[in-house]
This record gives sequence, structure tokens and C-alpha cells, in this order.
Amino acid sequence: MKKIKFGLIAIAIIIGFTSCEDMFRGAILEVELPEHISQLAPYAFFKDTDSVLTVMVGKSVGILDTINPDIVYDATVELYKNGALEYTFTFSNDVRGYQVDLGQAFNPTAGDEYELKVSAPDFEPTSAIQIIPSPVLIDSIAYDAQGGVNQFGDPMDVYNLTFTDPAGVSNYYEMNGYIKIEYQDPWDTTFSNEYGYPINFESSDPNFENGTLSDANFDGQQYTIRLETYPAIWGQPDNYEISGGIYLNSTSPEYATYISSLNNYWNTLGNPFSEPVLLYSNMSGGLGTFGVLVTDAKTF
Amino acid sequence: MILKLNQLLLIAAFLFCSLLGFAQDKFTISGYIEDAATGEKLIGANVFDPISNKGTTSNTFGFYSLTLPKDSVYLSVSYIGYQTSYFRLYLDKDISLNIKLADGTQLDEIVVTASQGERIENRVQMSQIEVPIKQIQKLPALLGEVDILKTLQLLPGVQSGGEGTSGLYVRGGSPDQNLILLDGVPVYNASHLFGFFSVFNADAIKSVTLTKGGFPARYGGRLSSVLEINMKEGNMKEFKGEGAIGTVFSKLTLEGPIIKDKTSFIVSARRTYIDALASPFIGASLSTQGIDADIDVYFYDLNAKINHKFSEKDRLFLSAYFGNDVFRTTFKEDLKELGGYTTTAGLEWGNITSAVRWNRMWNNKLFSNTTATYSRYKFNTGFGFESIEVDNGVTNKTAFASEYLSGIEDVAAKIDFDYIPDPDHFIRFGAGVTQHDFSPGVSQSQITVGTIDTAFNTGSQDTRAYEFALYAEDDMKIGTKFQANIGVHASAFNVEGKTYYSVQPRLGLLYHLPNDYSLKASFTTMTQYIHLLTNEGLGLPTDLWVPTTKEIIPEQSWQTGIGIAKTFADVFEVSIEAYYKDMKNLVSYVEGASFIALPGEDEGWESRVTQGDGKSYGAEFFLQKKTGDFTGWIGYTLAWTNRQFDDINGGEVYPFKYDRRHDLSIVLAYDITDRISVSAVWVYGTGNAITLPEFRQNAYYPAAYPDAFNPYSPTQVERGEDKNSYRMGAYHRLDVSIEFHKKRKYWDETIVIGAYNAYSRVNPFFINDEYRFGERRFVQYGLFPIVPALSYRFKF
Repeated sequence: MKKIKFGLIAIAIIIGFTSCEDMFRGAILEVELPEHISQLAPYAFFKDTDSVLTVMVGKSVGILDTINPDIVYDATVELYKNGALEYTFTFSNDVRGYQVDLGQAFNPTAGDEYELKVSAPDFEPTSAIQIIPSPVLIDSIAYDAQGGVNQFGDPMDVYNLTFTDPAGVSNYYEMNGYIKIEYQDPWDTTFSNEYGYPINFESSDPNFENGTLSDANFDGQQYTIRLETYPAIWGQPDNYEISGGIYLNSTSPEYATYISSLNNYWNTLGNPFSEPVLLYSNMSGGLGTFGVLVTDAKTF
Repeated sequence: MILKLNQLLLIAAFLFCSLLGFAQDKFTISGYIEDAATGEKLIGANVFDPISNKGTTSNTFGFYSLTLPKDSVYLSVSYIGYQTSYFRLYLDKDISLNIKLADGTQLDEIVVTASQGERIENRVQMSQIEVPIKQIQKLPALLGEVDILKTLQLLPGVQSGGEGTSGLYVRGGSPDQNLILLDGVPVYNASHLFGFFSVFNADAIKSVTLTKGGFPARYGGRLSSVLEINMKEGNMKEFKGEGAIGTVFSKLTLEGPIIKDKTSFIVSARRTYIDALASPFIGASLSTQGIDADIDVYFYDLNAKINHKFSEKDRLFLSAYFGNDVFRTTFKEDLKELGGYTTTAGLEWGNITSAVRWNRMWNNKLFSNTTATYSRYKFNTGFGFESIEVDNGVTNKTAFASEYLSGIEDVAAKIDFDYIPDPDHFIRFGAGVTQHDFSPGVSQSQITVGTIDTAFNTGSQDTRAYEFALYAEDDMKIGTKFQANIGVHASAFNVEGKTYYSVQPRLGLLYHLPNDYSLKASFTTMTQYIHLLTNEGLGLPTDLWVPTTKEIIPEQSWQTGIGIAKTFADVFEVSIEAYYKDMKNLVSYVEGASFIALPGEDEGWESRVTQGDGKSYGAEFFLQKKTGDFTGWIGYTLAWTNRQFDDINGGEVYPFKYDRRHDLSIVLAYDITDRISVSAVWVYGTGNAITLPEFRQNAYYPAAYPDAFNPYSPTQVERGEDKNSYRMGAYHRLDVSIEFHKKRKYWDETIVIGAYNAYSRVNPFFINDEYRFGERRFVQYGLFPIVPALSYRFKF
């Protein structure tokens, strides 16, 4: 019995020493990820006002691949309207995407069905269908320069945008715009400078999430959304000329989901406490998103 | 699953009629069954009369009642690990008989192994496992501390969340779907030290029973499981103590009579001393760099109970649990004339539970237990930074402090009746009400720059809710072949002026097959009104308990199961079960959400969650031996668990993080001699499903400018194929331990030497995305290599 006891104690001591060695060695393993099969990733967002339709066709690459997820140059890109081929796109080196010049505004009819089909050698073909949403017009925009403050006490420009939501259908909206500023050179008053930038709106509206607005809570009603953005001009605007435009885009649900998903992805990237965000895609057989928008604008 | 009123009345009528189904020329033997040495009441002891072939079992408080025809009676009373007692008597009047069973460990092996409680093939209840506490105490343990929840993870249908953690994932459910009752009081966070240990001190525990499905009507409020843990009552006969001294913590339990055979107490306490051991070394190391460090990392808990017998009919129990975890660091650097800085960070969480229970034996067939309980769980975490700069005699102070608080507090009352009119019926009915106060997370922050202080609070408002429950069930025998448990559980939840109602039918069936096999089936519906918001990527106790509200509706499920059971050679219990569980209105964070509300996110937690569905199905095999020198079990589970939320993964079905296709546990304990025993545990599980970035692609924002040259601006993103589409490596581990027992003059001692993860497998804990020499790679980190354990236990 004593022999058994001492034998077991010896085993225990050996285990103890082995353990110490392991503690210092650390416990890590490099992970071998499964091979990624590259997929087509087309992106196309067609507005009713577009006279040139553009489709960007990229591809996915494995996360550890050293190559970039560049453009696919030999894709076949087709747009079908209500089941019939409407346009075949050609590659443009200028925009590094596939385009078709309509010669006039796209101006589709609400309710029409468009299908985007993209194929390329060595890739699985991909496609998505979109239904053109109903147009929604801006009733009014009230601009209040530096009329609000954010949670840090910084002044914010306020835009109260009012529109009437169509009843009985689910509608999704995106609001954006741009600012153009012209000013005289202070040293050479005969010379004017001009620059512009897009407006990125923020809103505490409960129906506004990650850059898109859903009518789930105000279907069929006139609705005013308060939008805020950092001031176009800090200080006195006496020497400046400001112009720009505000857009109300009535979007397909897929487009709204994509934009919300992409904004969410960037807003939470690097936050260890947040749930992972998977970028939305509606392209079956591939990645990417096909979306349609019908827009109304007010310029100032 | 909502029943109409007329259906409910039919069930009630059926239960009432069953009360009338017994003849008048019968008499009742009733009383309590207890441990002869300590006076501890024995739960689930079997009382059987082979002449009439009728029997019953003792309830949670050791009470039994057996009504038989006027005749000679030959009673056998048995309980696992105890010597079977026999009583011969002539039954011509009601008899009160308190039965004392002797501990089987003091007896011959043959007698002990012959002792059985109610056989598995005779219990209607399926999907229920009781693990004897003595068996739990024999098994190898992480750092030498026996852990009840970790032992339960070794059972089929029950999974662990990750390496070393004590969370339970039962049949595809999440941890909040487990109703964990300590002496009838819900425990909301059952983990210490980030989940590596559970809050239950095995020395103070009398019994542990886990129910995974086929829930009887007396249970409600959770979807996936009920874990009933009952504390010891305290030795009524003599003063006793036991304890352990380990490498990480020590514990001590004292129990004994305050008034012999009338009033007893038990007190049990544990405390870790990692901080006491590590702080001097860390402090000394940092002090050479001019940094003053103060580190507190510990947990402690205290269980206490008083049991008073007013009379043979009335007993009172007062029990309480208090536990706290502290993880706090403070670093100070004094830069002399240049100023200095201080950083603090901390986490603290803890439970308090207490219960007053009054047992009343109204007559020899009717027993009641009235309970008033209080339960509180609180969590807070904070971070602070203070910098003082002295520049040309001018002192500038910059400070930031942030604290995050959450918790839940319950006050409840309930009454439960056991009515045993005859051996063919065991009727339970009762009612209860709970007041919940939820504090689902508030962040308080303060920024100081010079003399200017800015403070802001974000987060959710406290919410009060009331939960009501009402139930009735009958565990009945129908002829010689059929047994059934039929019941109904009704509940209501009132919150924010809205009341939700639910009626949940419960059905369990047993059919005796030839050769002592039994075929069991069950169908249950459950409703859950409180939810736990869990960040799947974190292992911290940052989970928020939140209520059903006007916006967030109750979780509901239905589960059905079928199985066969048999006891082989009197000692091997075998069961094979298949189940299917459908869950509705599960709650999850939406993509991108986190538990901390950021400044500007004042909408509260409801805006960060979504509700969806879950499905879980699989099969379980369980072979268990509870008695003898050689004990243990083999459990195997084949399972699938999926989730579907409209707002997650594009609305597509995805595997639950703890979807584990195969889960195998082999647990063995062997007493080589009276003085040496060995045990081993081997587990294998399919790896967890997680979301990893698996590929890169360009995505595009549309240009905001009209007539922009390029209508799109590219941005590169990374993503996984789908949510939880990547499988971590399989998990397997061997734990071993050996115990040396010795009887000394005044005490018994046991030296335990063990090893957790004996072959030092690098089991996946998390995967990190990192760069090494400029090259990106994904690295899987294991938490524990082989971990030795040495502890010294004593008992007097």
C-alpha cells in the first residue's frame, strides 16, 4: 500500500512540475481559417434622377490574403425590367465600374421590378431584384443656423424636414445633402473660392436609426424629422455665400437595410463591447447590394 | 400556448375528481424521513409496501404519506447511500411514523449498494437528474474547489459556456432560462470570479436536482431548466464542522444543535486569497518604478441557516446567502513637483438571498410550505483617471470617472401544498407572487478639467413589475402499467400598466414495458417574463436582467420529449431521451449594440434589443451508477440549436453560439481502499460557433453630390460568411484527482491532489486577430494548461 501511495504522490509531483512549465509556455495556437471562395460583390444604387447608371463590381478575398478586393474587369452586367433585358452595361475606365448612359433621367415607374444580373468567369453568378418605391415629396424644410446643441454642448445646425408619408405601404427614407460655400479671397477681393462637402445628418428621432428612417410608427401621416449637423460656417458668415441641397430619398427596404448596416459597421468597429455587425447583402449567390431610390430635393 | 377558460375548467375538474377516487376503509402512515446521525431530512426517500405493491416518496422537507387498506403492512424505506429500513405493522388506524435512516458509508458494501431510492423506471418525471452531493465531492475540481454547476455541466443536455466557466446551457437554452433556486429563492448570477466558480459552496448543500424538460406544473418562469439546490438544515444531534484549505481559497462549515432535536444551525463561509498572495509581489515590482499599486481580487460568500421545530407539525427555516466578488485596481504615480496621476478600475458584483419557510403538516395527508423570500443581484463597474500637472507653480487637474450600475431585486411570497390522498395520487398545488425591481443599466460619468465639472448620465430607468403564479398537478398511477403527471401552471406579469397572462399545460406520461423498461413522454409549455441581455463576445458579468415590457413581450416555449429508462443490475440507471424545443420571443442585442449606452443613446435598453425564435433538438444518453465503491456516469448528447431574428444575420437562421453537435462526458470515481480514492473526468465537446471576419470586400456609399464624377465612394469592410459560421476547435480535457483519507483522534482529514486538464490540451477560449512581424494572423488562446490542485480537507 505504501508503494502505491508513494507512486501516486510522485505522479502528482510530476504533474505539478509539468504544469509550471506549461504556465510559462502559454497556451496559444495559430488558427487555420477555411479557404475562402471568392464571390462577386456588385454594388448598384439607382436614383430616378440618374442619367448614367453605374454598377461597381468587386470581389471578396480571404481575410488573410495579401491581395486587395479589387474590381472585376470582365463581368457581364445586365439590368432587366419586369423580366425583359433593358440594359447591358459596359466597363468604364474612368469610374472603374460598369455604366450605361441613358441620355436622360432614369425616371422609373413606381412598382416596376428591376433585376440586376452580374456574372464573370470563375465566379458564381449573382442577382437581386428591386421594386421601385413610390416618390415622396418634401413639404417643407425649416433651417435654423446653430439652432441646437449636441450632448457636449457644441452648437449644431438644425433642419426640420417635413413630408407626407404614403399610407398603407412600408416606406424607408434617407436624408442627405451637400453644402457649397463661396467666399472672396481676403487678400484679392476680385477672386472667389468655392468648396463643398456632403452633409451627414444626425438625429435623435426615435424612428431614425443608423442613417435611415422607417415609417413603421407614422404610416400615412405628415411627419417632421429634426436633423442636425455641424454648422456649415463657424463664426460670422458675412463674407460667405452658402448654397446647397437637401435630399429626401424614398428607398427600397433593401437599400435602407444596407445603408443602416454599413453605418452600423463603421460606428461600432473596434468596440469590444458591441455585437458583431454583418454587412447586409441582397445579392443571391454573391455579395453586394442592389438598391433603388426615388428622390426629391430642395436647394437653397 | 394559451388555453381557453373551458379547457382550463376541464383540467381543474379532472384534478378535483382525482381527489375523490379513494375508498374510506384505508389508513395513513405519515411522518418524516431523516438521517439518523444528523437529523437532516431526506428528500426523495422511497417508502414501499411490497404486499400491496404501493409506495410513495418523501417531499422536499422529508415528509411522506402513504395511505393503504386496513391490513398487514411491510414497509421498506430506502434512500441512496443509506441502509434500507424495514417496518412490519398492522394498519388499522392512522399512524405517525418518523423514520431514521443510517448512513450507508458506515455499513457493509452489500447493504449500501442494495439501497435505492425510487427507481428511474418508476418515476414519471423524465429529463431530471439528481447527482448525490457525496458523488460531486469526489470528483476532480479546478484549483481543488468542488463546484456544483461545473459538475452539472458534465450531464447530458447540459453544456458549459467556455473553459472553466460555470454557466449552464441546457438543451440549447441560454443561462437566464435556468431557474436556479437556492432553498426556493431565485439566484440571478450564480458565478464567482468571472464564472470560474459557482456561488454554491458544496459543503453547505444537501441536494441538487436538475430538471431539463417535462417540467411539472409547480415550476414556472423559465424556459429551459430548473435547478433546485437545497441547503443542509444543520445537525440536530451534535456539533460538527468541516473545512478545506486550498491554494486559492479556504472554507469552513460549522453546524450543530442550538437546542438538541429542536433547533439547529449551519454556517458556511469561503474566501479567496489570490490578492493577498499576489499583491505583495506585484506591489514590490511596481514600487521600483515609482508606482504605488493596490490590487483587490477576491470573492467571499456566506451561507447560514437556522431550523426550528415548533412541534411535530410545524417547522420554521431561516436561510440566507451573501456573496460578493471584487476586482479592483488602483495605480498611483507621484511625480513629485511635476504632479502625479491615479488610475482606478474595478468590477464588483454579488448576490443576497434570504428565505423564511414555514412547514405545516395540516393532517397526515396534507402538507404545506409557506415561503417569503428576498433576492438581490447587483453589478457595477467603474473606471477613473486623475492627472495633476504642476506647471510654474500652477496646478491643473484633469479627471474622468465613469461608473456603470445594474441589478435586480425580488421580494416574493408563495405557498405550496402537497396532498397525498392515496398511493395513486400525489397532488401539488400552490400560488405565489413576486415583486421585481429591475435596474437595467445606468452609466454615470464625470469629466473635470481645471475647475469645470461636467457630469452626464445615460441608460435606462428602473422598472417595477409583479409576477403571479398559480399551479396544480397530480402525479398519478393509472392501473399497473400507466403513470402520469398532469398539471397546469398559470401566470401573469404586470409591468408599466400592462398585464400579460399565460396558461401552460404540463403533461408527463410513463408506460411500463416488459422486463422493467419504461417508456416516458412529456409535453410542456413555459413562459418567461424576465430576460438576460448577454453580449456574446464577453465573459464578464455585464449581462443585464431586464423585464418584459410594453414593447418586449414574454419568451415562450414548448418542449416535447420521449425516452426509455431502466435500472440494470440494481445499480446502473440508463436513460435515452430525444427532445424538441421551440422557443419564441427570445431577446438578443441587435447587431452593433452593447450593454453600455453611449452618450446620446438615451432611449434605454429596449432600443438595443430585438426578439426572435430558437429551435433546439437532439438526443441524450445517460448511464449512471450512484452507489458502491465504483461510481460515476457516461453522458452523451447529440444536439442542434439555432436562432432566427429578423434583425440579425439578415433574418437568416444561424447556429446558436453554444450549438454543440457532440458532447460526451465520462465521470469515474473509485474508492481503492478506505483510505485512498481516485477519480477522473474526461469531456469532449464540439467547438463553439463564433463570428470571425473571414473575408474582405469593397462596399460603397452613394455620393451625396448631384452629378458627382464617381457616384460611389468605396470603403473596405470585413465580415464572416454568416453569424456564428466559424467553428472553434473541439474541446476535450481530462481531470484527475486522488484523495488520501485519514482518521485522526479528533478529526478526519483528506488530502486531495489533482490536475485539471491533465494532458494540457490548449482548449479554445477566444480567438484574437493580431499582427506578428507585420503579418496578420488569428490566434486561438487557451485559458488553462494543466492546473495542479492541492487541498487539505478536514471534518470533525
